[in-house]
Amino acid sequence: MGQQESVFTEEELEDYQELTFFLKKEILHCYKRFEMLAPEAVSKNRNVRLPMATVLTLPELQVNPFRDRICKVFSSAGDGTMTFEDFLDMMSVFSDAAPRSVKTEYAFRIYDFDEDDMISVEDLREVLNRLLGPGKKKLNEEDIEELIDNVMAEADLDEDHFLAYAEFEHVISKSPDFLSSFRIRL
Amino acid sequence: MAYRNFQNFDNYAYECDDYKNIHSFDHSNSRNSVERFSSRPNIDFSVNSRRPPGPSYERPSDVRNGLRNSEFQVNMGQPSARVYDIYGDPEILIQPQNLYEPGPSRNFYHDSHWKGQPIRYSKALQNFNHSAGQGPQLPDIKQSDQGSADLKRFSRYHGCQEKLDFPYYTNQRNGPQIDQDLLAQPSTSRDTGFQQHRSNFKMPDGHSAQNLADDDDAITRSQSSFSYRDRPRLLDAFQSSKSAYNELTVRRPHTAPEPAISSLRHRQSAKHTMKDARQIAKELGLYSKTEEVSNADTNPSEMNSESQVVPAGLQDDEETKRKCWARMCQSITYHAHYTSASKEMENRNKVKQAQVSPAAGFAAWELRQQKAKKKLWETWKELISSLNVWSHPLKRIEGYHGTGVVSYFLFLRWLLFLNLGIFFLVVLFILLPHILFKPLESSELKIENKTLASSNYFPKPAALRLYSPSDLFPNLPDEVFSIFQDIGGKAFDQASQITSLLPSALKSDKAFFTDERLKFSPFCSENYTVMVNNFKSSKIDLVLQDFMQGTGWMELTLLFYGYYNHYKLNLFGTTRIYNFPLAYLLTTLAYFLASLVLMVGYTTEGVKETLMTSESQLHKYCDMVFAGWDFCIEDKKTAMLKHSSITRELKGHLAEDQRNAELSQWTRKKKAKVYTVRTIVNLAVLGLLILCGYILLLVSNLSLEKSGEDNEGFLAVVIQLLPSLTITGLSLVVPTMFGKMVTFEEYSKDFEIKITLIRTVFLRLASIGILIYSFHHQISCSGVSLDSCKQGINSLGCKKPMCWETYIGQQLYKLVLMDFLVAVFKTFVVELARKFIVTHCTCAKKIGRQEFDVTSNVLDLVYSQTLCWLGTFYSPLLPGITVIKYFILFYIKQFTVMVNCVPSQIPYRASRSNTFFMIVLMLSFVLCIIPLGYSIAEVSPSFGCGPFRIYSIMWLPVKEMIRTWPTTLQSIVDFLTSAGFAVPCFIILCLALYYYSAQTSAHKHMANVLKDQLIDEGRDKQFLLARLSEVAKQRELITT
Repeated sequence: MGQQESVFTEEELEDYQELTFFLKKEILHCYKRFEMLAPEAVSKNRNVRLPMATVLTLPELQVNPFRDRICKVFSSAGDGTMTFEDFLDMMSVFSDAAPRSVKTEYAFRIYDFDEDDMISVEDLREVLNRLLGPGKKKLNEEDIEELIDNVMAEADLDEDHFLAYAEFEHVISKSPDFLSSFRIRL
Repeated sequence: MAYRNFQNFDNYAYECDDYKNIHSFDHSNSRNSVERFSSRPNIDFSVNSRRPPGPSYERPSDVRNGLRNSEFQVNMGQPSARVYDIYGDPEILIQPQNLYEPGPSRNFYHDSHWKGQPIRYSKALQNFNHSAGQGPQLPDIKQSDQGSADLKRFSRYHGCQEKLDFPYYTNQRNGPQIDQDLLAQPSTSRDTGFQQHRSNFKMPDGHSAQNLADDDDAITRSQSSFSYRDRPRLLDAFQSSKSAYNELTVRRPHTAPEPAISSLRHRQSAKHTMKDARQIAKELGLYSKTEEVSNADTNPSEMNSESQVVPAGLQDDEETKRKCWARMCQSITYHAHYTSASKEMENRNKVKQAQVSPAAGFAAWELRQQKAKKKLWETWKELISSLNVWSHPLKRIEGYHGTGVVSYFLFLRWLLFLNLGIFFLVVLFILLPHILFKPLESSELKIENKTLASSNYFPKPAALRLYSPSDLFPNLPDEVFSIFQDIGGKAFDQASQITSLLPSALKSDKAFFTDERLKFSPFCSENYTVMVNNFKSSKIDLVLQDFMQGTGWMELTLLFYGYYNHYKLNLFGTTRIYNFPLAYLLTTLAYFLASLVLMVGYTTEGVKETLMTSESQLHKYCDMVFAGWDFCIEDKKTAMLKHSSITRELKGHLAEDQRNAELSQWTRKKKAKVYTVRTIVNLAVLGLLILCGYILLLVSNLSLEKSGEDNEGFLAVVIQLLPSLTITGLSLVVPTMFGKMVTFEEYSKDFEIKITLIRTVFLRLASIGILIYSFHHQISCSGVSLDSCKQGINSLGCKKPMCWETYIGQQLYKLVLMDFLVAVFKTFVVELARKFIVTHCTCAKKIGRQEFDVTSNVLDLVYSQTLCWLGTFYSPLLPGITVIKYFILFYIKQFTVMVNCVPSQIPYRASRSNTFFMIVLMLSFVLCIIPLGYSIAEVSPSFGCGPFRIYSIMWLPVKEMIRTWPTTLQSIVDFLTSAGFAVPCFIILCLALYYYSAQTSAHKHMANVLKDQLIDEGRDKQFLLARLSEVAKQRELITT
């Protein structure tokens, strides 16, 4: 840890440890990953705000269909740019130690494309389109409509054609795969 | 305090439509009015929410204006501008900063865009609430029960409709509590309570809320309790946060009563993230001025406005108090998940207070203790995390193959640690004592004598002296004595001569009690050693062969049971005794128990998931859509594959639904046909399983027969390894046959995979069962003429080995080695070759590259773990070997996965597989326990080897130990092991099982009923809201 001591003081590390789900070691690792995104800029100024395009070079985000949403949600500026603390925040939420409630909360915001605090049919369509990817074997429109109907039938408890957070949370709490899939290993 | 009087009033104030009155009424105490109105955003929100049905509860606009003037109306639903209006107000925003010194130099408070988003704001406010509720300088803002209950009810009503109280405040632990409180009250009593309350409440202008009473009651009844459980608390919390905030801004901290710790019991928060911390820091003015200036990214104008620090007129002590409180708040909020929040809070409280005023004596000591504890806990966590080996390779695999494949590697790692634990136990209690402690020498026989004499199990021995042959066999012919004397000459033939000369009476099994064993065992041990040494060879090929088989030079080593002595050991120069046989037995018991506990622990972790999986059929689409993407994936190709696999899966499910719809329309003829086919296939599978078992039995018998003959070199090795080769071969071929067969059965895709798996599991377990059977057959062959050391050969070629425990140990050792070699061979020869052929030759494109089959690999692991469990008793070093094997296997499998395999087309769900792994492991565990328990409790151990050579069954050392206990304890043990205890126990367990299964089905039924009810109530609610808005509109018309 010798040379990393110069990056963070012990007190800072302790603060970060308290504020995230990480241990000190992991925080340092996180910093390394952040530094790898833009070595020059970061080494000059630790708190530099990296543009979204740079953040998206993170391998996990590169292929993630929701990458832009993730950046936006975690960016403290709201425009997808990220500081180290935003980055740490993100990694912390995606870590193993983060509880379901926190993960659910962020998942909701990621899937809420129009940011109206409700997942609408349009949001769902967008989610599905991104999930199915640009491949050739896309589902046809009717299938997608049917899927959306099915999802709504399962999740929309008050039948208003919107998924409120509570409904989303309920559905996620029943999803066995959510915790294992909504995760980025450090 | 005055505001308590308003409680009842305020709870309904906003429910009636006459806000103006309330407003004017509230002027008598502006602080409290403000506090109450803080709950109002909930109402307001419904107006703003985008709801197609449209009914919303409009409030008279003049009232709203009035409220806005009161500057505490927070409308969360509105875009940020409005939030800014209120909290951007310099009055409030800067005030906290005036109160506090700049915070500590923490860099993460530099975020400048904090007020942009209402969501964050609400979160921050909540966190603020936590801290406020927990703050030591704040009054107890807990409401009277009635008041809060009503408030909750109210919030339930609104909570269903608005998106404002987007429950960021999601504490699962506490949510249901309140919910249940509410549910516990019968709805009628709730309603009457409501009414009573209303009558108590005096409206200032007599404009009562009765007009809306009907609607209100109906609404209250129609509240859903299901997914909105956090809302009541949210509202509650929100309100108290506001009051706390008011306390702050009003600058009357010195009047604040004692800390309101009680109020935070139900306000623990989950750990949130740094962003929230920043928010709080902002709220509290903890923002460091200097930091901000140094931060180039900060918006200059905002920086200016925020850094106007005017610490006017505050006394020093107060200021420090506030500072410490604020600092505490922000750290507590995020720390709450470690321990119970209140405890943590108290600790921190003390810590911080002590920082402010140096505490003396006990408090200081306590403080140090707490600090040390925390430090220790953190160090422990660091330590645990350092055990987290292979995180990097795991990540790479995950990035390439997704979570399903990684679950195999996690399982492998778990097994490795399990075996490491077992090995540690074995080394500590078996190996080290055996190596380090000297056996009791002269005293041994005496002790033996004593314990035996005191024991009620055995007839008293006539005489126990040091043996001479004439003592042992007084009626032996003379020539035998000379051979006995000669036994130092290590002549195996002579030894067998002796045994054949022994009187036939001694050959009968029943005559051999432990004292006879005592007499015989030295002789038999000698005999055994001679025999083994006879087989020793120094030729290099034979050495290698022996290494593969565990025979020859390996037989009498620590590796096998036979080498261990039956002596009680002397602990380093003391008179204390280490009862080695007992230790051997108890260690076995201990590691099986430990394995069981660990497995149960691992499974219970997954139980929730298992239950969810069974329930997730109801939410399969949501599961796929919202949890479909693996966020770990970082490889482009894998991502493409994931896309297509999700597409395929979704398609599959849609097709499945269609199929189910079709299924109900199947004709009787079709049904009959399908069922016939299924029956036939199942029979065929059964036949195949039996066939496999038979082949295995034949092969293992063959190998045992042939191994008696003098085969040299390669052939001998092949013969020795034949059973394990057969097992591996069968497990390669048969599952593919199962896979082909299942296609005729017309099951659903999901079920197809499942049933193939179950059949494969049966195959694996059956092969282990057959193996055990063949061992048993070998060591207890009937019609064998046994010599005094209980070895012999019958006419059918069944040969009972001299030391059957070592023999079994050897077999298992061979199987373990073979299993490993096969894995290596498969990886580096078969799979690598396949890869090269497929990549370099177009002709083989059809075969395609290998996919990593998680389930069959897991079955391999379970198989080798079973071998390890079975073998550890007979070969104590086997867990160590297994650890090494697993360690290498990890890298081999990593190689396979990364080099040979392409990501799988069939999606593996990590959740599904984890429980499956454990179930199979449990099954195999039981499969190990049964034969091992049988062999310990029933089968008589060999005379010439092992720690139990002087006991007629292996369990006796424990009985012996129990005999030395006080009589009361003995009788208790006797009772616990008697049928008188076991039968009632069994019956009670059965009853409990029945009870719980009945309860489960009742719960399931209840869940369905509640769900239906929920849907109904949702409809009711919409209908009622439509009515409500109608009424409101009419009212508006009347007033205008």
